Amino acid sequence: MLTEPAFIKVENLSKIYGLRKFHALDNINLQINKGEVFGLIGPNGAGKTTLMGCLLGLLKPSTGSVLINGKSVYDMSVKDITGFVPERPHFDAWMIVENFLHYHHMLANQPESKAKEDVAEALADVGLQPEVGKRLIRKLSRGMLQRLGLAQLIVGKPDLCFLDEPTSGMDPLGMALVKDLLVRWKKEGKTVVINSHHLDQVEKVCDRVAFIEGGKIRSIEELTPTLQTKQIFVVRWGHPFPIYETVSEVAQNNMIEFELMEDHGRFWLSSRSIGTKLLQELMAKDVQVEEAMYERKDLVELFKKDPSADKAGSDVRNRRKNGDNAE
Amino acid sequence: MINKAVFLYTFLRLAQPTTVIKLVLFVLAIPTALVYPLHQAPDVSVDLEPLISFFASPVMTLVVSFMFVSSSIGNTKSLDDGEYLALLFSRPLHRSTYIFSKWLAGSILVCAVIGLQLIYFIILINMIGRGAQFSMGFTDTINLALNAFGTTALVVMIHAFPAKIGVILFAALFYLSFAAPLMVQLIPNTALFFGVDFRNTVKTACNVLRAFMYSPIDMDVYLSSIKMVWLPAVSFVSNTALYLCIAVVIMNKREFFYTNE
Repeated sequence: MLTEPAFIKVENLSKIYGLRKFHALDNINLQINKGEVFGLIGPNGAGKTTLMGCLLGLLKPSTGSVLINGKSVYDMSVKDITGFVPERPHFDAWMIVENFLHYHHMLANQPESKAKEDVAEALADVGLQPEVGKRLIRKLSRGMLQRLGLAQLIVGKPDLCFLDEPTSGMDPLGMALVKDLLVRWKKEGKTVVINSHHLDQVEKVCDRVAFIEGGKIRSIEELTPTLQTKQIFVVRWGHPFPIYETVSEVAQNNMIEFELMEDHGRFWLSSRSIGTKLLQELMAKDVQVEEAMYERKDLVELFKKDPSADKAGSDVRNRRKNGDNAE
Repeated sequence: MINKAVFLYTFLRLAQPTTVIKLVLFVLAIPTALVYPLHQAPDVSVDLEPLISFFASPVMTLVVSFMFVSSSIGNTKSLDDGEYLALLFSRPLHRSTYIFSKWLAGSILVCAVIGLQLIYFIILINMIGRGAQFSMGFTDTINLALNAFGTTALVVMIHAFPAKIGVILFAALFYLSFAAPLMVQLIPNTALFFGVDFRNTVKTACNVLRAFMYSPIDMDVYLSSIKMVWLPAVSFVSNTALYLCIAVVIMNKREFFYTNE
């Protein structure tokens, strides 16, 4: 059976900055399929934005290549289908909002006859009132500028969207709007590459995420329901503190990864029903449970703690298992 | 070659209130300053023809181009005046198209600003009753247009460089092209460099440099001379083309993205 070639193909991509030879990206290999919503996550300075710059053809790779739909990122037919929401909404401050959107409508080679209609539609899509269209860009708040960034992407009607921290500086309503737009674009079959710290919203719409750290892709994960719902269950107990073997036996019986401290344990659960079972079994073994709660972590944290994603995370847990919990 | 959006929005940028005020003051100031002394001395006869050459000169077009066009090219630093080039170049827009569109729009702007000044100047001259002493010919109009296109190409090239590097580089080379020949005159003619009188070499190099950076064109010379003089025309056209080519190369080399600012 023939498989469809990757829509975005990144091969051996490296980016080195300046005379000090700072490796922002180090031998990145990545494939993104058509219609996929792909997340880039990782700590600050990991290289996520640089990778996006290379995918957009705005930064030149030091080595390696980026192909979109089999063509170079510098090909105008690729730019024709591309939209970009920058992290820094430093748009041309002297322009009026409507003019700015009209300008980008023209730059995106959209038909002039539909300009007015498309601009009004884009403003409505991002929740900006028509009156805002008459205002100068320099008079807009940070949240409004962020919405304007989304609007300029929408007027270009792209098939491939790059979003760099689209929820940065937005209020909760704005964040919900971004999520709704992502859901809509996913339904419309657009390919979306998103770089965001607010992954609690974004993770629900991403098909896959790449965890980037130190300019390298540490892992790429499909956001299966298991990973999306993976949570940390914290159980605190009183005196007498349970011995390691008791907790270990219960956890291993339920195939649960755990981390044991003197007065509490942290358990990595794939579903909440396992948490109930775990509690019941611990109490059956005379563990004096005082408190139990879910500690919701963002995707970055889960990636760091997931043994398949981060060997170091496993090492920490193994160290705990080997009796260091008495420290 | 020309992008309609970039071309039109370069004009729109001038519609900002501060730029409009600057433009109006500039258009009014120079003709008023030139006509006022004539008004004060009605009996003095003055040849007004050189004034036309002044308006159409490369110096004037360069000043106007720097004042009203330069900040709209490759400017990513100023939030008020600049453009978001990372966003612009994520669109289907060749950087060469951006350069040519800016050049064409800028040249037309320069022509329009100086044209307005000339119109105002003619009105003032007629108001003080000296209109008969002044006439503007076809060649003056052509000179103005050509010099506007030539110097705007130079300004586009200068501003294609990052930040102020272009301006500093241009100022340094321009100064050097005038100052270096004078400085080498101070060196005794017995001083040889590998047996060669390097003063002539320096002078020739400076002349070439000056010709590259300052190549005025005067249509009167071509139209009035019996024998066709090709060299200045070729120099003007090749310089303009070279400015634009350098600007395109520089823009293509630059990376417009906030991670490397």
